[in-house]
This record gives sequence, structure tokens and C-alpha cells, in this order.
Amino acid sequence: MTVVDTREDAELLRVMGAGDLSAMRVLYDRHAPWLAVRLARRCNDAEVVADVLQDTFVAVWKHSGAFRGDGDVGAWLWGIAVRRLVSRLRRRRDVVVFADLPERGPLGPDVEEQVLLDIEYGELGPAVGRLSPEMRAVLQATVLDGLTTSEAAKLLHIPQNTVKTRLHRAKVRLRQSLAEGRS
Amino acid sequence: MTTRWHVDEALLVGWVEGRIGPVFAASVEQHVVGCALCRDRVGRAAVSDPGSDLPDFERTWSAIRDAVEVPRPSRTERLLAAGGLSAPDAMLAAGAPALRGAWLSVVALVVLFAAAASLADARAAGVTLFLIVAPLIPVAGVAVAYSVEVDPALEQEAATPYPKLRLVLLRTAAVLVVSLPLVAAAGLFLPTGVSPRWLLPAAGFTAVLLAASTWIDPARPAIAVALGWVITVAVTADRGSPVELLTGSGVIVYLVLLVGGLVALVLRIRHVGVRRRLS
Repeated sequence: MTVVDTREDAELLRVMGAGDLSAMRVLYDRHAPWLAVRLARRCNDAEVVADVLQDTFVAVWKHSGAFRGDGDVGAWLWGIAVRRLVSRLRRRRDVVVFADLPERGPLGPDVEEQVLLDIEYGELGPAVGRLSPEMRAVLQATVLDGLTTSEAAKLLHIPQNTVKTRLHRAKVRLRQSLAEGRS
Repeated sequence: MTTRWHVDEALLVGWVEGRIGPVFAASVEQHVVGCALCRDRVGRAAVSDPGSDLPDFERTWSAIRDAVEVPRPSRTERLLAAGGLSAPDAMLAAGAPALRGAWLSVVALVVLFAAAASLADARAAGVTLFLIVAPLIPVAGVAVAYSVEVDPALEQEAATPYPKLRLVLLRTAAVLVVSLPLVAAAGLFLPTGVSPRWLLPAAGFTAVLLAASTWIDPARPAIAVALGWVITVAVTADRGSPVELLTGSGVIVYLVLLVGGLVALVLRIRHVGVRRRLS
């Protein structure tokens, strides 16, 4: 193992502003994996994920001074990455954005996993699971990834109004499902 | 930090491998954004995952490093590229001495001087000065566009498979685009009969020089043209008004120069080619 760099992320960003590439390497080692995983859960093409990861850190290098110092560097990085993903996928229609629910087959009857599955398929789980993939995608892009309606529209290649309608319907459907579950 | 909740291992690995559903994935993602400890664990899980659909982190890093270490194109270069030039064309055109600040300030100074002189009492002297200077500005621009003595970088460029003539034409275009508006603006202060007509000798000289540049370093013919022009204008001014140079037989001479130069240039272009060779 290499020596652990104890500098805070914000400190690294400041040093990067002065042209220190090794500081970005530390930042990359800390953040690239989870960013890549999170991107890969939204886009099934590893090439696109690699490109977006690259775009993200190139943008971070150029605009490291834009981090205002409030909030998490992680959240800031994700904000950049998800917008890079939107612009990369703008002209790509062959890439599946937001995969379907995973198959349950390969999971063994491991106790720990069973617990997880129970939570996963507890109240909210099946409710979300019952939504159509289109609605889930809208929900994920807007509510969970924090994209605006117009960004979500670009990412999913659908009109903005459709994003709004689907989001609205998804919320109504979720509320219904949860109410049914309780009664 | 010690009492904080962390994602348990099975869930974390499940997320990295893409095996868990959206609700749980969302939960992991929200936590990982703010938790350095779990981020590190994701890093270890992501690297150790054999059948991973994740990118190669080392390769991506070297791509990032390459992208970041490439020097940024200058502002002129980006402007030219936005105008439709290819990246190498933009780089070479931007390297034209005519686009450097020094050249521009000299042109501006000379033109201002000529225009100011023409406004003052010494009207005739001002016109003479303007007549000497204005047509020579594009000439000087072409001369320095491809002279190894002016631009040492040309020694390198000469060794690349980039057609010399293409470079000269590109840079001449740059010279004209940059200088002509300035000179033309100054010409507006002059009496009519001078203002648009000085373009004729300018065009004639430029065409001849461009044609000459296909054989030799354009600096030498440029000096010859400049000397000849200065003497002609001075002698004509001594005998009467230099504006006579822009009328009658003078016009025919410039037109002959222009047409002859252009024809020679076109023939030479067909012969040597201006297309960038691939490789």
C-alpha cells in the first residue's frame, strides 16, 4: 500500500488549482471507483462510463476553483459527473439508461442476503418495482440524481413535458401502492 | 465518525456488482456521496471485482492526464477553429506573425500616423504617406508569413508533411483579415479617389508575391516590391500628385499584376498541391 494522503478533498482541489496533478491523482483514487459504479448503474456501456469519468476529472481539473467549499466534494463531483453523462448520452440512443430490476436468480439463499432482499422487497421496494421502467427512470433521474426536468429529458431522450407527467404519475402510483400495502 | 452507520459489506458489494434493486442502490448512493470510509470500501470492491463492467481505472487515469497536460490552444487558435479551420490549420494560421500583437500594433500605428497626417495641414504629404504605406501592409504580411528569418518555428514546420503553400495561403488570409479593416478605416479619412483605389496595387502586389512564394522565400521579392513602390510614389509625388498612380495606366499595371499573379498561383497550386497529406 502507498502512504495514505491525509489531506481533505477541498484542500486537494485548492492545490489542483495551482497545477498540482498529483493532488488530482489522490482525488481520483478516492472518488473514481464510486463515481464509476454509480455511472455504471445508469448506463450499461463501459466505454461511455470511462469517457464520462474522464470528462468529469478533466472538467474538475479546469474548474477546481469552482468548488465553493460548502458541502461535500463527493456531491459536487457527482453533480459534474451526472451532467457529463447527460451530455455524452445526448446523441446516443443505443445505450440503455437505468437498468431494469436485477434478476433474483443468482443470489444464493444466504441469510444476510435474504435480509437484504426483505428490505429491498419491503414496502417501498415492491411499490417502486411495480412502476414501469419508464417511470422508474424518470423517478431516479429527477428525485435521486437531482437532475432538472430538462436534464432528465435530455438523458432519457423524451420531451420535458413527458418527464413531468411521468414523474407526477409515478408519485401518484407510489402513494397508492403504499396506501394499499398498509390497509 | 465511529458511531456512524455504514453500508454493510453484502449490500456494498451487491451495489458494486449491480445486483441490488433501485431503492437499495439509491440508499447506498446517498450514503457513499458523503462517507469517505464507505467510498474506500467501494474502491477496494470495485478493483477486486473480476467480472466487472467498470472501466479500467489506470487507463482512464492516463487518458485524463494526457487530456490535462496538452497545452490549451491559444485564444486566436480557438477562434479560428470555431470559424471552421481544422485544428492543425488553426494552429499554423495562429502562428502567423500577422496575428501577433506586435504586428497589429505596428499596422495600427502606421495607419494612424498616415491618417493623422492627412487630416493636418500637410494634406498632400499625408496622402503620399498613406499611399506608400497602405498597399505595402499586405505585402509585408505575406513576406513575414513564410520567412524562416522571421519565424524560427518554420524550420520545424518545413520538416513536417504540411504543404508550404497551404501555410502561406492560410497566413496570407489571416494577414488580410486582420490588417485590411484597419487600413480601410484609416482610408476613410482620405479624399475620395484614394480610399478604395489603393486596394488595386495592394491586390496586385499580394498576388505576385504569393505566386513568387511558391518558388522562393517571399521576403526577398517583398523587399524588392516595397522598394520599387516607395521610389515610384516618391518620384510621382515630386512631380505632382501621387494620386495619379491610381488612375489611367497605373490601374492597368496593377490589374496585369493581379491577373498574372493569380494565374501563376493557380497553376502552381495545381502543380504542388495545397491539400494536407494524410499521415
